[in-house]
Amino acid sequence: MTVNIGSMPPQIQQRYNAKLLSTPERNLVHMLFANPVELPDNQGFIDRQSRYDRLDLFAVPLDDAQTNPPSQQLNRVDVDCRVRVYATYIVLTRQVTITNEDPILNSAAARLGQALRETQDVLVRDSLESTASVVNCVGGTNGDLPTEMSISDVDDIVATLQMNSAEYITNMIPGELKIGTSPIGDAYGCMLTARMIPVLNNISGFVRKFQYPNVSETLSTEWGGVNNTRFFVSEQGSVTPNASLLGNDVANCFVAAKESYKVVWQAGGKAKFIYLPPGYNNDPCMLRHTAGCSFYQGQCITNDLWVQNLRSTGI
Amino acid sequence: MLPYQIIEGGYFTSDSSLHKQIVLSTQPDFFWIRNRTAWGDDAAETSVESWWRRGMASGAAQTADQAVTSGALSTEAVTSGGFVFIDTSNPPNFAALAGTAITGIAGTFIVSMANTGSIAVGDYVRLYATTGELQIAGYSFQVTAVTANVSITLGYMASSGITFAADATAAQVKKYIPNLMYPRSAFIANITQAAQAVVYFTAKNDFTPGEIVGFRVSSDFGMEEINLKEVRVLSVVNSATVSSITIDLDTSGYTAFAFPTSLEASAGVSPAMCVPSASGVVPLAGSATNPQQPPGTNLLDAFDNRNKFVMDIGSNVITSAEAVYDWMACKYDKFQAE
Repeated sequence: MTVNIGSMPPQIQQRYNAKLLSTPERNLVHMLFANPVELPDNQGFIDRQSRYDRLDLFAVPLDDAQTNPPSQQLNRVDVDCRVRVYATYIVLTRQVTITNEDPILNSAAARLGQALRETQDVLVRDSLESTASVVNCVGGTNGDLPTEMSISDVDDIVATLQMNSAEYITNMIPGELKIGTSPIGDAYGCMLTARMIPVLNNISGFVRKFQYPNVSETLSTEWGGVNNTRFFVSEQGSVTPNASLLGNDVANCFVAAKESYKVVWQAGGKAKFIYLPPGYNNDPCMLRHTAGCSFYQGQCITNDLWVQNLRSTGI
Repeated sequence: MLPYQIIEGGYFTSDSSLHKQIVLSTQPDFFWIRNRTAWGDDAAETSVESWWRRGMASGAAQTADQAVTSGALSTEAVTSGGFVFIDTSNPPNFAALAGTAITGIAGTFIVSMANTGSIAVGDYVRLYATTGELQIAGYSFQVTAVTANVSITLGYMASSGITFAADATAAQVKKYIPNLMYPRSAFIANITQAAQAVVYFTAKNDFTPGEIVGFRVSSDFGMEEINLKEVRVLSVVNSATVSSITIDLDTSGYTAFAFPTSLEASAGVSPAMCVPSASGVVPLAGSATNPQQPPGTNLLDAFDNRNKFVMDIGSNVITSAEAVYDWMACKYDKFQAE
């Protein structure tokens, strides 16, 4: 009888490669422009920040009798943000950890960390989706409402933010003597789904990141920019299904100015990895490890005039 | 073993909607409910006891019916109107259903539907392809009445007093479960011209007295004078058919609020919205000028995440109004699906 590789036992046929494959990790874009705020411990769970309104202009001169003008009222508005607690964990039997060839607890920690960061990002996304002002793209040509995003829609949203005295987030990238590059103006940041990439590429005058004169101050999540907006894409960008006039999916593209929204973390509740060896959690025979993570977070818009949800179809 | 088996329990009294949502701390493997009022009362009762187990389809239930006099139980399996577990931060996606008309001229906003599917009172629906009423395509509404396989009523829109020039002759109606980030921006159904304007919404609103809200109303909706205004909420109504806020703003001299026509909407408009802006001092019983004494700080308007796990119980399980139902949610220590 001939011995060939087909008759070899499976244990001999197979080799376990200890180099792990990559786990898909999503782009985290929704906290890029958030103001981080720390809520000290033992001071409640709602963070209040306040803003004083502008005073009226006083363009009328005093009369010759030099009578005092009427006083103005200084008005303050408060923005409250509640911090909530988030946690998850996994359970591994000790048998697994002492049997498995790769260090599975290390992988557990990595995956918990990934889930934690992606959750933090999604919380901010959902907050923006629920509360931001809505502007439909109308400059496209696909006959839907909203249409696909066009250069006029981007310009309109920049004009809206400028009229609301919103400050840019990034500084201009001036032109340089490099072939095929184009300068980028002072810009607001737009966070959107990666499904919008074909739409972005079709926007008149859109400058891909590789066409920037200088890419030293860009992020891997940045796709490009046009006029005064730079676009940051993510697999977990916001999409509302069947929300257009024709029933197509609508991309919620959040255009944010400086100090338009914030994320609040509690000082004693920042992201934490929690490992408990066998013997805890009603485990008298020391059979189970647990690995968990937790964080305390709140998120909110701090000025509703400074962040806009520019809705687009075409995805 | 994990430290829990029966994770939660309780009871509630049913109402005429024959629908109940119970907030849970996690997804159960087994959910049980029993009509305490009807159990053993010698009267016939459909679904006197019902349960859902992990592995069963969403919306399904196994139930026990009680016979008259003898109280003998017989078994039944339902495929809809049973138990649906919902994570509001990651809700299920529902297929759109066809509508054949929306009564916009009369302002009653009744959507005719040959198949109303699982839509129940209180559910949110999004409309699109609203032929003849494109001005509400993409809008979200809360349902205030359902006549099974005949129509649904968008009562919050209807109570706003707004009317359209034409009825819709077709529509797609998509049920959805909203994310519960709080407070949410809201679609405006109407704004009155008054010393203290009343703003109506298409669904129940999240706003609270004292809160500062912002308005996004383009000239397409007439009352563009209110655009970008930030004003204080004086009082809030969230009844079974009315969702509105009264605001500290005199709109009596403003242009009347009106939806664009269907044709205008098809050319491209952005919806009229009311957005949460900031917190404020609680007003004294609806007063425009007098704050509550001592000043009441409004903590109810804090931006918050109110998403939750919910067991949605339908009308094939809750079959009696004004009955006490006991319930129990369990998690298996070990589960084997073979």
